[in-house]
Amino acid sequence: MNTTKITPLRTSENPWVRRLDSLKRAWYKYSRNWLSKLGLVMVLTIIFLAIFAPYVTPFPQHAGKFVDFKSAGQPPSQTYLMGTDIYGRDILTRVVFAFGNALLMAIGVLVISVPIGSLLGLAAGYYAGSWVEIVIMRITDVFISIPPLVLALVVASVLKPTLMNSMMAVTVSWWPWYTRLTFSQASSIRNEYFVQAAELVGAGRMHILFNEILPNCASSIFTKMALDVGWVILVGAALSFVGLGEQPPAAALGTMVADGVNRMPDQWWIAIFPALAIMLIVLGFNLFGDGVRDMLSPEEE
Amino acid sequence: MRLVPLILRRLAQSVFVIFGLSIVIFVIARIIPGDPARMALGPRASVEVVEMLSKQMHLDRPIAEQYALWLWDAVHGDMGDSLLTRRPVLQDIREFFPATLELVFFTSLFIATLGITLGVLSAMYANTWFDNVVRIISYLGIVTPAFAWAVIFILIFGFFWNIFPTYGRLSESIIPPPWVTGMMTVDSLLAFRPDAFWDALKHLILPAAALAMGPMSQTARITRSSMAENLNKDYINSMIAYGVPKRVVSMKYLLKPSMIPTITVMALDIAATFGMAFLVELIFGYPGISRYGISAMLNKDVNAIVGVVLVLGLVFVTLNIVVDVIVAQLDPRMRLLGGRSV
Repeated sequence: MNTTKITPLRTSENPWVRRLDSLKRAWYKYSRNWLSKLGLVMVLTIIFLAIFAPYVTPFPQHAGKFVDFKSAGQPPSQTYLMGTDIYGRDILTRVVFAFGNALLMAIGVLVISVPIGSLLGLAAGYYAGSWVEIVIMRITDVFISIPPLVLALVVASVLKPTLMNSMMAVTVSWWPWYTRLTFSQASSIRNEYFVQAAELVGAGRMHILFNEILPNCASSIFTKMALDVGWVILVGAALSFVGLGEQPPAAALGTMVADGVNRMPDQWWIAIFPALAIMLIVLGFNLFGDGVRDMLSPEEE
Repeated sequence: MRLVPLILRRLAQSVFVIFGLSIVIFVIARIIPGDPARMALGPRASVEVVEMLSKQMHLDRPIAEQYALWLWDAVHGDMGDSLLTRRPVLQDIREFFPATLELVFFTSLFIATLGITLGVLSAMYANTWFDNVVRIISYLGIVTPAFAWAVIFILIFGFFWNIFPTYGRLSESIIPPPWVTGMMTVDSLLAFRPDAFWDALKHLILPAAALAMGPMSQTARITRSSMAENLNKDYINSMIAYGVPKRVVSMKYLLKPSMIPTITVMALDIAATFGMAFLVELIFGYPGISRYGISAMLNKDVNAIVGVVLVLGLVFVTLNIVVDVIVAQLDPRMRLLGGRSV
């Protein structure tokens, strides 16, 4: 048993003090695990690098169209920490620029699919047993019946290969998981006494859906979102790996790995470093997501 | 035993899901910008020929009618011709699917044996150095995509050590065994060809291992956490209090209920393996259905895309039914409720 002393809750009149207290408590729950703190550091570093990519990378001009055959295919050295690719572009620079695109993609996918998915799940959960639930959940079943990556690949293959369209493709295969999650939560919460009480005093449907049920689903939705950033990036990398993502010369991690596979084993650095970068991003967001889960889940025992 | 109603109910649901999936995929495949007939015949084909193929594929009709016509043929075992290989899609699938099935079978073997073993061991030795090592490895396993593992494995075991082949299903020096099931290892055994069997097996190890790393780690973690959770249950404590040996408690009373979440997650992961196989088959030049599917997608081969996706959907719903049956076997509560979730 952890015997760390928990400071008793100060109940202050000042709402700011209370807010600060709950923040402190959240941080306490988040930071109990050092892996979560590591994850936070990784996530913040990745975001920082992505935003300031043009200022922190050694060769920002290598991010797009750039050819320097004199320094093509060079192994890692002091000038090129991760070596150069077949066009002589610095791989470190391109990896850092690719972070930005990967994050953009993850944000785009989640911003669209989470509201759609959870609203549908909320409706299906509240009207559990009626035709609303049947229609929504059976459609969800259809979309869940093939692996998300396959569905994303099919949709991406239909559209033109751009960042925007691969976002769309992943979104199509992503929303049903939020529907299912919210549905399972909402359908059990709707039978709780506080919902019945609200119904009894004549609260409106919208009030019950959004003020009573939704806030109680929020913690699992947020936890899934934090974890999903990494998975979306991974699926995005898979799309660009087969050439259905953002097209060259833009920097995409999947494309970089694919380019390097043909150069194995002599020029191993072309594939390995972008692959490691994908690994680090997903690891960072996973650790971060675990921390968020610890933070949002109700206190055990 | 109330397994029959459970299976019947799930079968009915599956028919619906596959039907819905066919509509979704059909619509997606038909909104492809550009004329599939033109894509198939190339830029030099004459307008008349392209129009003829369009007509043959009913591309000139409204989409609902196209779907009805396609469904009618599909129910009668004709899913159209691949525009790329110019052969019936079903024939292509029959040729390529066994290879993927074989690959996924070996992947599942890795996942089940190693994943569950590691999970059980780390639960039994919880919070020791062994547990921590497994935890770190499984974290890395989960966060690294299968195609990255493929690259890493090719580099380590294909080039630096060169103990495994990294391309195709069979070495060129070995004459392939006659086609029976399409699964190289099975066919070579049927033909009494240990050399071909051994060679095919060696070709399977690296792609299967690359595909297995993620799901295996996931399985290990789920097994560990569900065992740890059940360890605190009263019935386990009473078993220990009765003086039942620790090994018997873990193997007989702890493992069985702990397997329920493991199996559910494992089946989902194995189904997802068919997705990741798309990339891994590409890297290893493995002639399976996923590689066929990717080339169909890149070449806008609409009939083949629909066919491949539907086959994967079938595999997925079958796996789900199998899981439900296994879980019902493990969990008496599920059995009593006729498969409705607990």
